[in-house]
Amino acid sequence: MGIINVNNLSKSFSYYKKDVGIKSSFMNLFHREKLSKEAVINASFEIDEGEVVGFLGPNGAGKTTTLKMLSGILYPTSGEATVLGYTPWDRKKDFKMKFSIVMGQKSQLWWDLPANESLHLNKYIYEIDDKAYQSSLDELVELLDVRELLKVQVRRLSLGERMKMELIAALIHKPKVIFLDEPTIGLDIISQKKIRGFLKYYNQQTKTTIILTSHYMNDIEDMCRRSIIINQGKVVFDGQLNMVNELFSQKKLIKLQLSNSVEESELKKFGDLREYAGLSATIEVNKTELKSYSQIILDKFPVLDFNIEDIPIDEGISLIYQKGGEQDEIPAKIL
Amino acid sequence: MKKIYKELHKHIIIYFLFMKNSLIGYMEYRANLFAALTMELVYLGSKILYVVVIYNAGININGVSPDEIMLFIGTYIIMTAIYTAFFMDNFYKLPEHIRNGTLDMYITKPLSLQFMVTLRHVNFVLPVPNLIAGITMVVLACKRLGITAGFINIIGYMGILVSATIMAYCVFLIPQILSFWTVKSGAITEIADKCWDFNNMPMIIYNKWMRRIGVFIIPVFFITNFPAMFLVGKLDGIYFIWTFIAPIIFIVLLRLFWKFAIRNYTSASS
Amino acid sequence: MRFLQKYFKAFLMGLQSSMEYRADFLLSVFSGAFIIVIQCFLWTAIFKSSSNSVIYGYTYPQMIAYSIMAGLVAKIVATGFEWEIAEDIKNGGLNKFIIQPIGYFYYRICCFFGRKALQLVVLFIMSLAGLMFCNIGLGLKLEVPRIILFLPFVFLAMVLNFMIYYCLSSLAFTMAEVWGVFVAAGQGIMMLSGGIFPLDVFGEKVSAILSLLPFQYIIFYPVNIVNGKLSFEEVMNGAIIQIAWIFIMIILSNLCWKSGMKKYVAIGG
Repeated sequence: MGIINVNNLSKSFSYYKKDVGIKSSFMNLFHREKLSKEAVINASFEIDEGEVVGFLGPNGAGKTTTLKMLSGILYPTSGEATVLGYTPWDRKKDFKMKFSIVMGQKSQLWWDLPANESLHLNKYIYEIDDKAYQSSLDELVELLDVRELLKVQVRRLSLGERMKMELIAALIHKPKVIFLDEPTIGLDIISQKKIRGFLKYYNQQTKTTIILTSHYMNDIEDMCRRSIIINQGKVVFDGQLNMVNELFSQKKLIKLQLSNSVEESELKKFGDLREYAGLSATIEVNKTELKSYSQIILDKFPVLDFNIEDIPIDEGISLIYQKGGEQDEIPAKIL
Repeated sequence: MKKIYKELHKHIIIYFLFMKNSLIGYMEYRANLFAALTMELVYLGSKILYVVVIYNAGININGVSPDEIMLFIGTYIIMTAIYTAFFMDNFYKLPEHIRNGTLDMYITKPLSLQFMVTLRHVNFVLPVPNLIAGITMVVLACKRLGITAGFINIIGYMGILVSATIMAYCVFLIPQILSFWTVKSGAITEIADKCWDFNNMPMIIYNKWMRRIGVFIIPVFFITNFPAMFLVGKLDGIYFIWTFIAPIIFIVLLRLFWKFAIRNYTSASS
Repeated sequence: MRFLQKYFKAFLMGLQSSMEYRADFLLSVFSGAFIIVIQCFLWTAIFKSSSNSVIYGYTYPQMIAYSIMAGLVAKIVATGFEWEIAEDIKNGGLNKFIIQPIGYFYYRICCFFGRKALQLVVLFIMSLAGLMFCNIGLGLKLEVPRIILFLPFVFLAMVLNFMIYYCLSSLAFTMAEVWGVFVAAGQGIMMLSGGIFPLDVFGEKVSAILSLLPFQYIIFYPVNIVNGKLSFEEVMNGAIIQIAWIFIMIILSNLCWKSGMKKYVAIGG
């Protein structure tokens, strides 16, 4: 049993259809078409204590919805889940005391007040005693290097600084599990890096289980050993991120720099010609033929530079996104 | 029992923190404050206009003298002050919390959600003119009517004000809860606000059926009429009993409705 | 004629948005009816308890007609665009009007009437029903010429009220937070234009002062035309002053907007 167990979790929403134009506004007076959307479909996975797991997927894939169900904000349409042994949507107080959620675009801080007032409020909300509060606060403030900013009004803070405060507010009661929804959204690269570094360190030190969603590849690559890829409501991949590559390891990229230009049709014989600009070319070839083809290419053409590369991870994932709905066999093969 | 006491204690401490935070937050917007005060003064003016009209007409209306009417309207203005102090900002913000999704954050906190959302802000400035005007009018009216400031009168009046405050909380929160279903809730707020205006005049001017509805079904009359009725000795029989029962009934109803709305929100929203 | 098309488009946009918000409109009519109910009960109680048949210069049917019609006229002339203008000023929505060859003022007024078009149908039917009720139920004397005169007067009242709020909305150039002012002004104008009580209740001195202001031509005057309070001479005089006020407000709003725009452009939106 992991710290989080999810079994066949599904969620669907209903909404009304709306077209633009004066005629349809008029028609809407009388009739509205009801539609429903499957946001999450039969998601199942298990997460152990101390893991850092990333949810990846395009916008609207169901990442946030899954996170909201796990934090008890939403009831599922069907399926089960336990977090720390509790069913999240029962919203037991004991459960709430032990986890935390940070949503990149929703603040829990009082906008017009210095952050320390909000933190002080959390001290009482989470029933933390003075000593534990002080030491926890000191530690977090030190790690994130924001001591001077505690007394500045939240609305005067930069986006990155505000996110640091949000993290402190979320971690001040030492939660066992923390959910992060797009924690680095809108931040500059340096702030993103700092926040990633902090979370990584925090996880190593405290063994807090961290679940995060992001659509920044770097977030996930950097922090998460394991990632769960969701597309169109379905879990399409669950495993180590570099294993995504194994999916594509049947294919390799050969990158060439040539001293004289070579006919396009000549290069096409070897495989899929991805890029071609006279003196440079990228060819996608099957792994099985890599060796023999390499030989031929080197012999036959005026090669200046020769490289063999993996298919980039971003690309691999977007391929998985596309497969999303119909092909469930892919992750099964990997696991 | 001990657990309940502990929770209560926690909520009270947090309520004080809410008050403190509201106060600090308020200091931030002086320009805003001035505008809001102007607004409140104009509204106060239009309430006092009713008193002026009655005094100028100079007659007893349905057996109620202008002085008694001033007592009613003064109480109404005090209740308006209480409402603006403790509830108004929060109730207006409820649809906003739903729209922005900040409600999601609050749901995950180990604290009563209803408490956190509906009692989070306390307004220290807006109620001031109403409070001063209202108390002045009540005191003046009592003097003219020969109502003494005895122990029973004061305690009774205050007690019924508390009961009326609870009713104000319930009656005006219920329509706001509808914003869990419709995103555009401006009109709902407007209707609720206008309902409050029915108290511009004591309920005695309305007919029997409206009075019954306004006391027992949508108890807006309860909120501003009962405290004044107690002072002039007209709060008797079923009304007197209702003063104690109604808050309990309405708190239960509100709780049920709130839980239903949250349940709906957490299963339907995205 | 092509240049008129864009203003017609603005009118249509207003019309469309009024359909979008139809539920809000109907609910606001409903809530607007509350004040009518309150006033009617109040005056009924006062007339019943009084030995006089004329109070503040009104007979009972006249007073009831006043209360009903004042509530409806208040809805007819009601604005709401001032909030949008404030938004435009604050968030730089005005920029596109500086660039595009469409006058902001014309855009706003076309949009305003577009938004009103459907509401007016509903409100005029309600007004007619209200008057019929006063006529049949309470024996209010109704004269057709008065009803006909009422229509252009109400139209001008809409224009006048539009101008006043258009002027007011230019405050958003100088003030960061205008909502308090808008709400206060809304309630103040409502009171001073006779939307709650006929202005006669203020007493002679105050109503003499109020007659020097434009507000009474928004509600008080049109309503007193239909309920038979004003003589034809007074109506004609009123019409002239009302039109004069519209021109004054146009000049004033021009001044306000010019200085506001100067500031707006200087800051760069």
